[in-house]
Amino acid sequence: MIEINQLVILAVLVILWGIFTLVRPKSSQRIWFGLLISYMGAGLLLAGVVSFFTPFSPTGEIFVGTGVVLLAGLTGVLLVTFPGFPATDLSPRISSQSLSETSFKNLREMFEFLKTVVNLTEEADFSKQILLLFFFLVIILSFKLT
Amino acid sequence: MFLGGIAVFLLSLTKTRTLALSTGILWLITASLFGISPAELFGKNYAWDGLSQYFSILILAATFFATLLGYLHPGPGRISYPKFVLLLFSLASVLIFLAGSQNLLYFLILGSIAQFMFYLLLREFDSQQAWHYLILDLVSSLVFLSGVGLLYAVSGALNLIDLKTNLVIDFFRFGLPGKILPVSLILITVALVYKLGSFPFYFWLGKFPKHQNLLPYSLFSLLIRLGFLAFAIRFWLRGVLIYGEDWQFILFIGGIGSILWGSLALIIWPQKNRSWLYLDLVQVGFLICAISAPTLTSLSSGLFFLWSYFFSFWGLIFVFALFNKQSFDFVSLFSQIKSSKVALISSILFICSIVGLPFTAGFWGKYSLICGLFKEKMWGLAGAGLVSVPLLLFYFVVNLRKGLALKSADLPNRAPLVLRIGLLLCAAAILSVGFFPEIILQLVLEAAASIPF
Repeated sequence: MIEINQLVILAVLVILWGIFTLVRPKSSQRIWFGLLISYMGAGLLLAGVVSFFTPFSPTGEIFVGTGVVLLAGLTGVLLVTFPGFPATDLSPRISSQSLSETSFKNLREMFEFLKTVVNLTEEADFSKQILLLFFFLVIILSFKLT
Repeated sequence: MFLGGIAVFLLSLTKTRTLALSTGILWLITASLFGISPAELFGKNYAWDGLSQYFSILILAATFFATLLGYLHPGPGRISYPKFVLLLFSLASVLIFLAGSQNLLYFLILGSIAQFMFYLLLREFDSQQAWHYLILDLVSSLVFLSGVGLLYAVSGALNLIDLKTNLVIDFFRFGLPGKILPVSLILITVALVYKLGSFPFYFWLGKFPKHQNLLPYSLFSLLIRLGFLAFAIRFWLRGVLIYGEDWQFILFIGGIGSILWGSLALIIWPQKNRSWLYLDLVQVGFLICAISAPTLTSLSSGLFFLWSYFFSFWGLIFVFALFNKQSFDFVSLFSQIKSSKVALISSILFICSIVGLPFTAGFWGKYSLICGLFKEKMWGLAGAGLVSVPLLLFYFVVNLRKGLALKSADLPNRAPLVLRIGLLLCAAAILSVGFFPEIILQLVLEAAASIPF
């Protein structure tokens, strides 16, 4: 469980990361990336600070919960509306090379990789679907029993 | 109902007469449901109560809508309409029985029969996928069976009422149970969540919406799932609620994950042919949220939401069938929809209900559910539900703009009567409940009150 003060420290670090990205803008994409990181840090900071003043109360929990959910929503919307993220996937490229050879030059390629993995998973044949069932089952069991 | 299906098959009438006969049988059975007194049969292994009645009405409505849809789009042509009706009626009769069953063994048997019947139907569309579906279902049933075996070893009962009694008695006699009980509850819960197609176990549904026909996924999503959901509610809330901490977290993950992932994936993959899958995932997430907050308010809100989900989706299916679309391709639909006022108005109504805008059934369903979750201090579930509303609205607005910008030369043919009937019924169900929610309130409250909290 993350304590409130840890949340604030994490937020400060995230904001610093965003500022660090913003002060060295090699391209317009990096400016967007820096802004995104800063927004994330600000969201965390807001949730942390508000919760700090109302510790262990339902109001604090509401703010933390709402902060995290809004942050998730904001991150998602920013990611998908990000101009540098075309709606393509890397299926041909990934299938043509092994996973150990796959490298990513920037965040955009990582995001595309994630999309590709989801694509391939949702369209996988039934033997892989069975493996996925057991994969998640083991995770849930270990989550509860350890 | 099963006999009705056999009669339809043996008579082998023309297509229109088969539809008329099937409709008559379905309406007769639906009317008769209101005259049956609550009772527990077969040594309390089957209960006819408010919950069974509510789900039976929805199952019969789904059967009627599938009969209408099958009249126009019965499949690749190998299956005759009377045979389709026979399989559909048999499937629905098993599901109605399943909705009232209170025994784990009953679920295994009835669930397997239902899945096999669905396999027979699905085989007419895609034999390979039907076979894969059967194997995946067998694997999840084996996981369920393993859980049932362990639970029986711990409690000595398969009946849900006896199970609860034995668990309480054992708690006072021997104290807290060991690790076997949590493992058994996790196995059963994972199998049920897998069969319902909730996050993260929804991957196996990925290929369903890609059929060149609307029927296969409609039958799974809006018919078979109802029977499983009714049993799952009984199992979680009537049988093992006292050990909620062992299974509730799976529903929390499933509910929040389904809503957030479904809403975001709709926006991330707008060009993909999977909007139906993700929209469906969001709705399942709301239902799971309602069950994971085990109170009368949340359950009744969830059952109210089920009404809006059910009729909005069937309505959308009829709109897409009207334009001969074989999947939920909203951009293409919006590009053509200006040519039909009926389709335009009804699709706006169904979309507003799915998003949760006033004054539709979806608004009251989401409003009461989210308020109930806030009241129970389930902040995460309520927050995820709130976030999904603007995300869904964003998705539909973007698609509407894209669709209206396209110029399509294709105009729909004159709407067939069966589709117009389906559209009218779904629109009436959404709009009437939107303006007068009390119409189904009594039904929903009686259904929720069947579970003693």
